[in-house]
Amino acid sequence: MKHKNSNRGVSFLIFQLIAILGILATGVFLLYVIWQSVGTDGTVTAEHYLELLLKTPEYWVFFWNSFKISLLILGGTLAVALIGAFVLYRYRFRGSNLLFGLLVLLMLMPYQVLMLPQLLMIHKFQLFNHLAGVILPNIFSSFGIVLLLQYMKKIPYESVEAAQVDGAGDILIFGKVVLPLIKEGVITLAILNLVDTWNLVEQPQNILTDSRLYPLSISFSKYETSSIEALSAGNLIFLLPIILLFFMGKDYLVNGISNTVVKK
Amino acid sequence: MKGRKRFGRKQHDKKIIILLALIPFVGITVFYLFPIFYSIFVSLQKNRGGNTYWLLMKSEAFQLAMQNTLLTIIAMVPTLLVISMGLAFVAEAGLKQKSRWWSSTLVLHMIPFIIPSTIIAFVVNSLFDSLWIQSDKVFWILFVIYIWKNYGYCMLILLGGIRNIPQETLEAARVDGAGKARILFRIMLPQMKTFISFCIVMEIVAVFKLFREGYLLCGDYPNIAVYFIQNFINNSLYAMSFEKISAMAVVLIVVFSVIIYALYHSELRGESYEA
Repeated sequence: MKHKNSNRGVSFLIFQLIAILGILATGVFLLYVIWQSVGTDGTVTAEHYLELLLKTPEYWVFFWNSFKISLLILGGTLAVALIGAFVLYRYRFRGSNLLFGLLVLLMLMPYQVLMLPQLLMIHKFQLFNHLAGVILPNIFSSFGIVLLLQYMKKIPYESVEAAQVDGAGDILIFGKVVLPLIKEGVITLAILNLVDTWNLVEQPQNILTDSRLYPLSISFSKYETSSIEALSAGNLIFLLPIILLFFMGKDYLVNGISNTVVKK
Repeated sequence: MKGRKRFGRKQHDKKIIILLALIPFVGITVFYLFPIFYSIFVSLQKNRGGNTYWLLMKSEAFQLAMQNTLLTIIAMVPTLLVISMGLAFVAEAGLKQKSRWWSSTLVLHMIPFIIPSTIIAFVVNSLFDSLWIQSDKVFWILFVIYIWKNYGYCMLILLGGIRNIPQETLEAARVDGAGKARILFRIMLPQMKTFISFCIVMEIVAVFKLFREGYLLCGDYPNIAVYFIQNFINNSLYAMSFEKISAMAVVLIVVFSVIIYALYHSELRGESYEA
């Protein structure tokens, strides 16, 4: 044991310190958000929450918008990713390699870059100032397809073959063999997707002009009546769902994230 | 008879699956591939002032935005890579020795990654003087936010890379008497190549995402030190200059395709799909 310690050196210590610092910063940040929302003058009060929830009807509208956008994108993304990945997993066709390469390229491209051509399309389709203009492009992102395909490739071929010999068609194979085995992938995708869509900034900001359609992620400058403390309460309520989701799925995330890497 | 029925079911399933598969691929074509070609078309159309690309390159705002974005990438990406790499090695060592600290905190490093940008901007706004936020020092605030937000995600990716190295390879090197530095640089890092490339690409994507904090913090008219490509995009959008936007999109897509291809070409060629 002693031998090991002496071997570790300074760099080891520094990074251990950075790790502690990172956790500490996160803890302080979260405590600060909580502290701001329950009263900054030393007394704990729920007053700001009441002010926010009772006297700020905009907050409810923005929250509902966020909720609607995130859930619709999640549902669409899961459907698109499951179908797309399953087809690439089961069928090889002319150009399927090229298609996969294209999907990876799209997935790795910064979204803001792809958003520009999309804005032209959205303009053409007259989807400006319409929630569909925000939701539809997000549903068809290639990230989900590529991620789930990574998980499907790990399924032992024998289990698919066995189902095939038993006469199962593709739909049965998908439901009974593939889907249960990629559960971790689906959960990882759902969490990463919700984290991203709960935090949409560029798209609503560029596509929506009517502030009644805004999600919470961009609307914090759009309140007319609230105090800073009420806004802090709003921040905490906004943060809560995503933190809860994170803790519910955290056991899947460690593996899930290293599986987002497309590898040989 | 039974055999034929089975065969029929399979064919039937295949048809349904292929029909369903049209949805994602049509969607991706409509919202990603077609717009790219369309913007090439728009950008090449004749413009009153001359060639759109030439106008774009001459624009001072565009030059400033490109320069700032590039400098930010050069400053932030390697810093984040080194930090998360070091953390990944320390975490791996800690987990191997069944350290309670590492097994309980590993996933908590991801929390900053999930905090919405508006909350971060709100907290920074209430902590710092608005004069400070309007000055060029705001770059350093964004720098810290960038590192804090992304180190956990990158660490987990690189940790996956370390775990992906076959133990036998490391054992063999140790038996051969290779030193620590030699093992790190000659064996571990090359074996993690795919993970490191992916991490670098993701970090560049994260620089672009940093605009969210930047915009929510500084608004439409930030200090010129943090005037990024996205600010330029926003301003062009307000001006409704679609030729400019298309030309910009084409330039950026070409630049990023080259970067991604250089870092990641073996995977893009579809070798991973064959395996």
